[in-house]
Amino acid sequence: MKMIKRCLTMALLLCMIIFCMTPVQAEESAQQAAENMQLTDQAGLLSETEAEEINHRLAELEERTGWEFMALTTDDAGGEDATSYAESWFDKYTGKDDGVICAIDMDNREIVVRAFGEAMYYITDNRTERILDAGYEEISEEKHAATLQAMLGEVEDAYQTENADRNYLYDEDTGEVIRHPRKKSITLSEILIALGLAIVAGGATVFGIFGKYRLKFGGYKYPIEKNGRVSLTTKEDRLVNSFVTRRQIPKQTSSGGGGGSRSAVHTGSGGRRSSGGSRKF
Amino acid sequence: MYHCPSCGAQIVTDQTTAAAFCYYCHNPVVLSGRVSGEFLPHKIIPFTIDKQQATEKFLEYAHSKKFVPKAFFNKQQIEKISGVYFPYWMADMDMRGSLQAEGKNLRVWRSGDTEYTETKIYHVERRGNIHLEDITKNALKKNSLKLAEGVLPYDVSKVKGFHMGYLSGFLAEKCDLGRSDLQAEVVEDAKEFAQRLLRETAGGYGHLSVNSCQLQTQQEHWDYIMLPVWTVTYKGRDGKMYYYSMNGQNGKVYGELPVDGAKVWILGIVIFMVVFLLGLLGGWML
Repeated sequence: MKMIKRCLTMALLLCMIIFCMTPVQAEESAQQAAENMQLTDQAGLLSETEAEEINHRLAELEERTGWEFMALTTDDAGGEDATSYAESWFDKYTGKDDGVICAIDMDNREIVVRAFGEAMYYITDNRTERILDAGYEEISEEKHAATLQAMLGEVEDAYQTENADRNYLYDEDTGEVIRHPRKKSITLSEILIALGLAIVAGGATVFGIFGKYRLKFGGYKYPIEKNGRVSLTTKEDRLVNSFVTRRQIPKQTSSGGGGGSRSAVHTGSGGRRSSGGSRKF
Repeated sequence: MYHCPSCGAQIVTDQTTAAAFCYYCHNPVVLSGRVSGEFLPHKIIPFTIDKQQATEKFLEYAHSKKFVPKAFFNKQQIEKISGVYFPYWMADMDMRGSLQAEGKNLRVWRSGDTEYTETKIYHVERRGNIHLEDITKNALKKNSLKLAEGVLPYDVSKVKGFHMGYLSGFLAEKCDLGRSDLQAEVVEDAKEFAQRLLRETAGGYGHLSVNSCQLQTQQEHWDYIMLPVWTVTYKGRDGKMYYYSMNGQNGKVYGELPVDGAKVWILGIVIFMVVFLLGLLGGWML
């Protein structure tokens, strides 16, 4: 009897340990899953070497940008269009706010790029076209790995050359324009301007006081308003010339005001905003 | 040669002294010969501040100055405070003037992508009579011009006809700069003031450039006037002598003040720091 009790206690204890450990394992496995989701070749379009190369590229980009990078191929979008499928995929597997997914959807015969978070300010409308152009050139020749590599190459170029501070988002759903949240920093020119102003203000104070106390300026001035008066006998204001000149106001480079490039964004089913686009092939 | 009417002692004075005190019996002496004939002043503004009030006002003024070294001024250090009638010339000028100028007004508006600027140019002409009152000039060569003019202006509505009796009990100086010595300077000043007055009648232009301005003096009236000034000689703690003049009518003080350099530099540095930090903050916020 005692033996049975001991066995039951042991079993209960084991169950409790397993029960307690399960969420941790589940969490770990989800994280692991996300980590393993950088490249997912559902459509089986890539060779092992190609997949390795793309994985290497994704890891490099992630390290450089701090964003999440995903590449995806699928031959079954589950009835969704390529954009929704890519957005849902990213939503499902990412652990970060910022990131980019490039996908080849063989089901809809569409290539797609979507950028999230900070990446939206880099993947502008113009950049999207360049990424899709690069991808389209390769996919037309059914070079699937090259398609993803070309798209990632353009994303990398966007990261290196775009000035995100000047770019803005245009929410297609609401019409809202969102400027890039400026990083609060002080530039060298701002320091120099502040220094210049401070020297002028401090110097004017010191020299002003010394000058006033030592009678370098100030003193009596004839009160002309009080002691002078004029009575006019002639007052003539004759228009002799009038002309109008015109000047073309230089056009701003975008409609968002203040220059910069536009990234049209929309909110996906997961509630996350993203920029980018897709193209049929 | 002048003698004290009370004790008969000889009065030793400068060439320009018109009233003084006997060195021996301290009685006031008015050197009437120096305030008569061509040197008879036309007008006088009497003192309204007595010596005690002058001393208090001077200390009040000195203590109100934040950058004077602490405890620099005190009553005991005032070496000498004297009430002096100083000679001035006061001129009223009537002038006729004309001014020709070009006035310019701009109006800017936008329509679409085009910015329009309408420029209207006007010929501006003004003619008229200008009257300037009480252009006041120091009439004593040995006076420091800064100290003599620093106490101006006076309230001329309190002016009186000159009478020798006003000088009694005060020091007084007669003028040694005549009207002819100051004529050119006064006319020059009057022309500058008159042009400014004419120009002010042509307001309403964004830009006004004067092409020509002619001014002719029509009439001028000069008064030789004695104005009341308290002169203060102060021996600073630094051993230096400081000289001040105070308007004997309203107590306005004028003169060089000692400066506590450390206080001024500290304030300058504080302002430098505040502006620098605000500038950095502005740069950070933008």
